[in-house]
Amino acid sequence: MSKKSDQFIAIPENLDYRATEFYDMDEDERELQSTQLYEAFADITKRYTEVKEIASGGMKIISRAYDQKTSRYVAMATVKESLGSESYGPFLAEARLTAALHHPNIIKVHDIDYQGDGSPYFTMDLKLGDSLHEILNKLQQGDEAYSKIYTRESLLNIFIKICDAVSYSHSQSVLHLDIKPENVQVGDHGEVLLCDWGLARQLGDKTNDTLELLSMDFLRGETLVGKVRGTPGFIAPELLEDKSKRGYRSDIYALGAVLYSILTLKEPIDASDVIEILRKTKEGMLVPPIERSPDRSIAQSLNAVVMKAMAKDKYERYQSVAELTEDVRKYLFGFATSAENAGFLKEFSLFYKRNRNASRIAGIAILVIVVFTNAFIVKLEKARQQEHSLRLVAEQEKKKAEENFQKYKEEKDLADLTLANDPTVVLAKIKEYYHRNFLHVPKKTLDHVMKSLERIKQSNDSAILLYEFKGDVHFVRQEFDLALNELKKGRGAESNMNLFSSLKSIEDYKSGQDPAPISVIRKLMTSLRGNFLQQQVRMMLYDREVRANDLEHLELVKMIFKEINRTSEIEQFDFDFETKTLTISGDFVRCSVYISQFDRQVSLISTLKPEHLILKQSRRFNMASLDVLKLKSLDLSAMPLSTLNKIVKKGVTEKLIVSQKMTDPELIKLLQKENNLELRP
Amino acid sequence: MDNWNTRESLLLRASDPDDHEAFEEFVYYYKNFISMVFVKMGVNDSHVDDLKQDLLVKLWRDISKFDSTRENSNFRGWLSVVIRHEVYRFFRKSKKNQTDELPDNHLNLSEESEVDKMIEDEWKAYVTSLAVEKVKSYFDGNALKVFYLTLEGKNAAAIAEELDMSENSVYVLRSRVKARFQSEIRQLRMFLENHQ
Repeated sequence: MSKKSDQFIAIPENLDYRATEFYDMDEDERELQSTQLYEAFADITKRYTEVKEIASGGMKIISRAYDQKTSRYVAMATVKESLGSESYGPFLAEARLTAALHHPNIIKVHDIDYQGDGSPYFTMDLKLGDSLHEILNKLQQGDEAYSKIYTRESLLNIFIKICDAVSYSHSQSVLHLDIKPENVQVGDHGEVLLCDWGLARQLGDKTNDTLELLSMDFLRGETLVGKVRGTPGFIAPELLEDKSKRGYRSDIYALGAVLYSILTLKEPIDASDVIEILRKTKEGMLVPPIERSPDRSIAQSLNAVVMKAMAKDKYERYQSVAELTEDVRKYLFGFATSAENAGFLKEFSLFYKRNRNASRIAGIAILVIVVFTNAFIVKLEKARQQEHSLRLVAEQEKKKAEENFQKYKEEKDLADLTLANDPTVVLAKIKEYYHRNFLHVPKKTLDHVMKSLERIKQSNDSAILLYEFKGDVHFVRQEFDLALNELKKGRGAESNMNLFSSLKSIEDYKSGQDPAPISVIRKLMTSLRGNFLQQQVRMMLYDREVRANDLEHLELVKMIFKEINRTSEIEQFDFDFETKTLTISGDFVRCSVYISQFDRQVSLISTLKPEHLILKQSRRFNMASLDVLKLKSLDLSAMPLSTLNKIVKKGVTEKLIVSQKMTDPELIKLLQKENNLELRP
Repeated sequence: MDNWNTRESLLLRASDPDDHEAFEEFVYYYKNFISMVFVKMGVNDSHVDDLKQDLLVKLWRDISKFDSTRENSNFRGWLSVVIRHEVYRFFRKSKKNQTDELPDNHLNLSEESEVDKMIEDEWKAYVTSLAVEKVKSYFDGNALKVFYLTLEGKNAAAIAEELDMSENSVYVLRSRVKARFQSEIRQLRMFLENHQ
């Protein structure tokens, strides 16, 4: 989830009262237009003919019908007569909700209307082909024709399309709530449609349904569970407790269950009756796919994906459908998935699979070296027996050989990167390397990154990405002129107007070996007006490694600290180099900032290596990265503290100073346990 | 790169005391609204900032206590109650200190429902105004003009004449902008009001 501040909507100075009526307006009340187009068809008295029932569900009957106006066959849904007019509302709601979704993998509604007897109907795409349920059944029975078409890979591709459909509907805040193989229609040419949105809800819609409608499967089970909607085995545990708890993650559970069925060709939960299924669902008693179908050679990574998606605790599941899809895609492309927490060996074997040829060449090269080294050692062994002095020389030689081997290995890594076919993949790998290592060794990482970037083969697809990446690295290295050059090669001002014009304002500065003068950086930052903050923070971290002058570095830290904290709110920011004491005073003080590339809080003051920190007047401060600082003392005596601030209890080695008057007594008790606490009046 | 659509509710994230990004966004979107309401309720300009800071900290602290699953509870209503109490408390205090004149206000502060109604109306205007800002970035030229003229209550024929275009294109443009606008409102409400 991106959280960059430039995504904030500008708050208008004056409110626009003209449009408030739209606030509560239901989107479905959108005007129906273009009705005039149908006027030409006025003489068609009966639109749908040749109606023939093809399926029936808990609430609907689906028929095939010929649409005279568009001259094609469509599927027509009507309400079961036995349910009566009470069910018209929910029925229309389903039609409307489905109609509002536009996605290639979601069934399309063509028409909603009333029949002569006043009962509503709607028409949809007429689905050809089988449901995923039928396909899985056939596969389970060992049908040869099906096994040929529906390989594991093609089933996973179908699964990804289902995920895409759900991901889209979630983006529209619509939950499906009854995802299962029966509701997925697969066409002969790879078309995949997610159908039956009869239980779907707009997220946040808390209305209780007066009419409890059950899936067909459910009805053949027990009546006892009449309060639950959905399909046993696919329904998420939280929905069994309280259906107002439905959320995106309930659909993610169901998707996990579908993937389970695809992998095992079995129902997700193994039980003799509905009651038992529901009990096992509630208790999260799930047999991992690998154990359930050991004969189906299920990959560890996919097993892990299922287990994560179907976690009993919804917070342990994937946070979004996109993450789930990404993991399945990764498997299909041969990368390790996030769910399996891959170790080195796993990564390595997948890497080998992806880069078979390159790896083999490298492997042979290593083998040759090993053989030679080995031969050398054998020879050495002989020599040792003969001559002691010769052995010393030989050992030196051996050491050299090992050093060469090491050097070769490092270069091979680089070469592997730059040799890969797709430059965008290479860029992504370099970026990953960057984000993993920058915080530990900023300068070395950037040097390495730049060296790798310069070796990348250029292609049209990746050129702009490459320029922008290089520009970013130059920016952090304070080579502002080079950064501007890269931007010019790429999309120029178009990519980031503000950055471009800011760099242009300091065009005269020519970078060299030394870090940029503070005056230049100041000018640049003034011009950036609070944009590009994450790059500025990285530049500051890099600066500590390259700048010899402590006072200048302090000035930069101060500038960036004020940027992040919005200058107006910081009254004081002083650092005493002799006592290593940092004093900050302000209303809302943030000592660290979340950097999305590193996915963590990064301390804004760590480069000063303060030993003592004095924080004043702050109503709220963030301390997330306090323990990184290893402070000797922390003085909070000039600010009120409540129990919310118990976070300060860790991370100070010598002394924590708080005010007796302004601190919650409960907090004082808590702090006294863990710290050498000094109380000031 | 519009991640707005898939973002989790701000309030939900804001309930997590360690999510500082959420706090920043929470302050960004709520502080202006709160100021506007304070001014409408007759809080003296010089006090608005202090009162606002107090309230933000209070909201921030109590937001995790707000329980959306209780019946008849929504965040807007809760916010309205919290704001009302804060302002009453402020006026009581200043009356005691005799430092402030009580506001000369057309709003009857003793009538709770009236205050709540004002806050609600203001919130609606705030959300729709934000949506207007958002929509601006998607359309330009005539599409927006048509939309604004519609907001002013003009009918399609009049708009067509004023902008020198066919009535049909007015319909098309209007429904496109309107659809976008409604979807922005829905997403904003999801983001700013929903708590689950």
